[in-house]
Amino acid sequence: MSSIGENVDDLLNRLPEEIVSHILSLMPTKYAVRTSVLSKKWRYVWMSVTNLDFAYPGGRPFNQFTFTKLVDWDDNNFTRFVDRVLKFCKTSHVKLFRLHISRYQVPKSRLSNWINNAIKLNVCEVDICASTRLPSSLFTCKTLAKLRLNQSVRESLSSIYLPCLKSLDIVGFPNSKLIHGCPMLESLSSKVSRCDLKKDYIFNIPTLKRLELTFASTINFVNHKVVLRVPNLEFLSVVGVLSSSIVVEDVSSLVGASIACHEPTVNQRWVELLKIIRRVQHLSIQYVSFFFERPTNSILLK
Amino acid sequence: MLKNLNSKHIQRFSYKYLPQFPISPNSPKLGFSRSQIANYRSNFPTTIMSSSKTIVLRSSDGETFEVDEAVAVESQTIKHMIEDGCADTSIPLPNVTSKILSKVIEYCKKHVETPNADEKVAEEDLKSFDADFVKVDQSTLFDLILAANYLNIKSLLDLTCQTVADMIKGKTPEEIRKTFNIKNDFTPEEEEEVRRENAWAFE
Repeated sequence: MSSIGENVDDLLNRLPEEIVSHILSLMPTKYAVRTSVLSKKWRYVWMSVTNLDFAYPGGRPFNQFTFTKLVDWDDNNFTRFVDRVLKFCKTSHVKLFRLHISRYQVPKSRLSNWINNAIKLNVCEVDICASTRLPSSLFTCKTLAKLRLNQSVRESLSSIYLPCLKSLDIVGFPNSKLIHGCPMLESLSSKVSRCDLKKDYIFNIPTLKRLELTFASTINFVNHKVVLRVPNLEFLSVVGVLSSSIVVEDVSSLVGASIACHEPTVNQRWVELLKIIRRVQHLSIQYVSFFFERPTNSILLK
Repeated sequence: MLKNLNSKHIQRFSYKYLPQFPISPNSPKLGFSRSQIANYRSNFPTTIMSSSKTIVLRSSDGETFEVDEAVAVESQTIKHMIEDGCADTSIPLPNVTSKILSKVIEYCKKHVETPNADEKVAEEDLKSFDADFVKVDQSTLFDLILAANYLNIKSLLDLTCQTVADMIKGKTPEEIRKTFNIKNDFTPEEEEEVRRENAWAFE
């Protein structure tokens, strides 16, 4: 149907602008902007993307074992790229702002500048992996519905108010200021670290429907409890090495649960947890043997 | 009601709904007589009548397709037309050819039949169906995108758009030009300027 050498059946001719911008939003911004060199018609098409997705240097997200290398953040192609995209993107409602910077430490002022730009564009979802402290403006963003960080939310923030936030994925347990500042929180994913378990912790979130707890394998067994006071919880996931026992106060609304045990043996704490959640409709159990590090037993029960 | 019944209806009725009713000595066996159906309908009016309704869709080239309502309402556009009472005889779809409409119906049928994929097997089966579904020539793919957009079928639109995105993502400009038959009308100086403006994108 398409004739060779002509642009008659070109993507841009066939599909309306909203769809082309939707397609370009389905990939990292680097590749969307690359289309600028395809032809004259394509030069500025990328500016209508709704997702701003940056990864530097490209690839794996940051983990806590980082080392700071010397990068001149003032004279850097990546910096110029991000600045240019933020300046020229036409949308006034950014759906996703993702920034993954691994192995390098971006200066606080520059990161704040980028995040503030995204906030000005009414960003809905923010996903940041960086070793830099985040600006407090991120925690008072009125349009934010989904937030994913590879760091914890520090206690020293003066105010937290995220009226639209439904989904939160952070390191550590949320402090009370954070919980009060997120009145609509429905989904919480928490990577539990050693300092979270220094005392008993009570999850007191009435709106929460979904909770995922990932316990790092570096934590030793502690005598403290994690109490779930979440009466409307529908889905619970517990992954890793269960270093403390989990007490669930009210399981009546629980519909599904997922357990992944990464310990050499399924000890008493796991058994007690299973006793609590056994009446759910959907249960997934995974047992990853410590020595072989691959799932040896995976059951899906109804 | 009885006048509208034909053998097609009866077959569908027995295949679909029998397992849902509790099996008892008095429950209907396969192969219902019309009087049995009329009797059943009068006892369970809501469950049967709404479930066995079909919708007629008319493509731009005049071909008609009869589909179950449950399949048709995968399209939000059609769903709203039915709710607004515009679906008495048939629903005209002037923007969709019969070739594309039959594919869209195939997609919707598969997605309605597969129960909410909590089971891994069903989920994998659906994934491989989706992967095969988009193995079509580019022109058909664009037509499917336009149809999914017009008919407002979110999952089909996401699937087809992601397919096109995967053709662009990670490819060199030369490869993309070749895939989509795009002619490079930049002068070397202009191309150099574009590459300089967005230098990091080309690293």
